[in-house]
Amino acid sequence: MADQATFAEDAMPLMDGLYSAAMRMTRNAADAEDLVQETYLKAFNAYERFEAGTNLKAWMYRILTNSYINAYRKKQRRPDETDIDDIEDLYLYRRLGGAESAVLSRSAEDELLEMFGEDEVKLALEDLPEHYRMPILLADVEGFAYKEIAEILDVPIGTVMSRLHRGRKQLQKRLYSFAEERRLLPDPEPVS
Amino acid sequence: MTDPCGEFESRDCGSGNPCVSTYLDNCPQDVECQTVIQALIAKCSTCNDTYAFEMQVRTVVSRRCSDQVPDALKSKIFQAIQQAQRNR
Repeated sequence: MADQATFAEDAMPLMDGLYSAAMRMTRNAADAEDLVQETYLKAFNAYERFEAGTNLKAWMYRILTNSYINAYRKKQRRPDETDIDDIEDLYLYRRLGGAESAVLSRSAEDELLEMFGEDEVKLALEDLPEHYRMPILLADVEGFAYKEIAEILDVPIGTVMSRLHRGRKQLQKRLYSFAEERRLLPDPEPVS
Repeated sequence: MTDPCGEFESRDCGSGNPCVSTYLDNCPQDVECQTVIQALIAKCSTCNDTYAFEMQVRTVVSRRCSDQVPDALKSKIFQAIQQAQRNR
């Protein structure tokens, strides 16, 4: 069992990641701060039941997720659901880099991706319905494995994979819309 | 070499192999499966490009979505934990 005396030393280094996740979940700083504080106090009180040497990061994210679901989710605005079946695989690649429709060279593609600012990428992620947003957040931002995400969200691993696949497609579509709105895309070569 | 996605080699890769994203999202994260798929991707330049692009998107998302916790919150939580420890 873990020693409560070492909780701060063990858990404080995880706070940046937990705060980022809380920001994407609640979509506002005040709620994110409350959520992180609540998570740390709950974790401290339960720390003697945590098995030392197991996955502290996943345990903390599970507490964060459950706290969010129980206390904050009800008051969140729900993003519009999009019919994701209409979004093809490799959405951005086909529009920016695919052989048939390439509008950018490899280095230009990289530059374009680098041009997406923090606000746009955060907004694109926050605009996703929660059941897609959470797996993407945990996989692509926090680096959890599918099995860990399944445990944190308490859903089967197949559900995690399918939500990731569909959520990433919707995220790419949103990013492409930003690129269009900001006129970041070069005009296609005229056909002679 | 077995194709874990079942259709990797039969796809038309002309505009990007959708199996690359299927692989990235759906393949088990075990070393054996990953090794086989990496070898299949390496055999096709389009699959390689697709893979690199998809990974680049994920890197950008990860980098852009990282926030730093405010110092005031960090101190507040640290103090709350210390107080809880003293109260035990």
